[in-house]
Amino acid sequence: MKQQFRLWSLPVIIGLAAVIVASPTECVYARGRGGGGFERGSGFGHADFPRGDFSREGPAAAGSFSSRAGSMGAQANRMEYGQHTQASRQQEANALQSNREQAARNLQNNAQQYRRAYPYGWDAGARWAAAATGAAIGAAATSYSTPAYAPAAYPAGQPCANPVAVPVGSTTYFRCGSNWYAQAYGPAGPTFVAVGPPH
Amino acid sequence: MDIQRGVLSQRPTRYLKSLGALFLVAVASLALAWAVDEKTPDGRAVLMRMADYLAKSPAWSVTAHTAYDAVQPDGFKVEWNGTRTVTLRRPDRLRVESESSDGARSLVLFDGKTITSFDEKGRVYAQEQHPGTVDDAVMYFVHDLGMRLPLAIMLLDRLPAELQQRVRFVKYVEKTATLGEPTDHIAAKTATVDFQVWIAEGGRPLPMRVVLTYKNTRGQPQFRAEFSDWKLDIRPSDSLFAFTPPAGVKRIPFAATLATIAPARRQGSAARMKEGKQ
Repeated sequence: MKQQFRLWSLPVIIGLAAVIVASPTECVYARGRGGGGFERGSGFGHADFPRGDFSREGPAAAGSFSSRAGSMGAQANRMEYGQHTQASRQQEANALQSNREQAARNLQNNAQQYRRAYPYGWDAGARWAAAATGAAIGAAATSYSTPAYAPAAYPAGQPCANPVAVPVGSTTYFRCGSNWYAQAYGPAGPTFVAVGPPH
Repeated sequence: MDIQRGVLSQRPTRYLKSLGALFLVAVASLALAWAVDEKTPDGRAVLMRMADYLAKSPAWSVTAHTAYDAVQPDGFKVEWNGTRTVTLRRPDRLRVESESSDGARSLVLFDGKTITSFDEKGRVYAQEQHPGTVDDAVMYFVHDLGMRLPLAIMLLDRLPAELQQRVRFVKYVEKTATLGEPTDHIAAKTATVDFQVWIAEGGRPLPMRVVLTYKNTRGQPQFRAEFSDWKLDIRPSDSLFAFTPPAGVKRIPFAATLATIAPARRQGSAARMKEGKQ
């Protein structure tokens, strides 16, 4: 009788051991949860981090000894994540485009004034950070179905999935549906900026 | 009566003794305070000595290991690292080689006439003509072209004037060792950025570490840089600052100049808005 019990218990033990070894990881962690392991509802989980890539942008990226403070940085963040209403985005697009055009005119007007006096905080830079990268314009111009700046969504070197390259003079424009883009060098590197149709 | 006279005659003596003890304590305290102040260096003087030394150096090169915080929309701060090698030859030559944490390499050059930005990964470069000094080029590059050049004011020969204009408060923190060198730790405030500098002691008051805190920005992100391999006895040749586009590399405009090439579609946007079109 004792011998039968021993012979019967050995396969049972082996079988139990096999079940333990082959059990899913969650079960192992579940057994450990009460003992100080990762607990459900706390610690790390995918829901704790935003989806998509982490942003490299922000005032600190410029490494300047001056800043345009939080207003532009916060504005750039809001634009990047498309939380503005359509009307306000259009207003911001107009304002930013106006700034860009005025700045471009300043560049032309000051072309020969190499020793002009620069304003206090000339290295703040945020004035151009949002506009030049196209992030603000892209988000502001969401009256168009295709954002003007979406490098993360498409392969590097393309403003959209199937751009049509249109060379005009020394500049190559890219048409994405009814939207036009040009590749330019911005503060964060090469980027695609929304532009009007080439003349 | 005699006893009362004895008690009364002791009071002035005790009073004088107490007064004398208090006086000695006060004098000792003042002397100690004066001695401590004398030993604490003037923070502004140390900072300006560094600025003068850098600004007057005719040429130098340094490697900077940088890191900055990018505050994500949910408030989480991610640190991005990079390395920069700066070579400066006054009055009009500059070279900044950068490599970011993802391995992307870029180059900023100024040869006295032309400013160039080159992106190796994107195989593109942009150029603008801007004859002048390094000061002219740096300020034009950052302010007018809207480009990034971390710690740009440290490249200027007007660095002392820039600091005098911006710094509202400066204080000496302590003597400490930074990257193996004895340094003076300085803390300073400007209107929008607080910064700290660790400056090497001795005959070469060079910055060893800089921390910038953007105090008015959400999350108060920082930019940090540690400097190593300072060289001041260099004579870099012109070829180091010249740019020859590699084969297959495309020229593109700086984004700030793009408006002159292709005006915006503002009127078209407004029309579409009115019609409610997407």
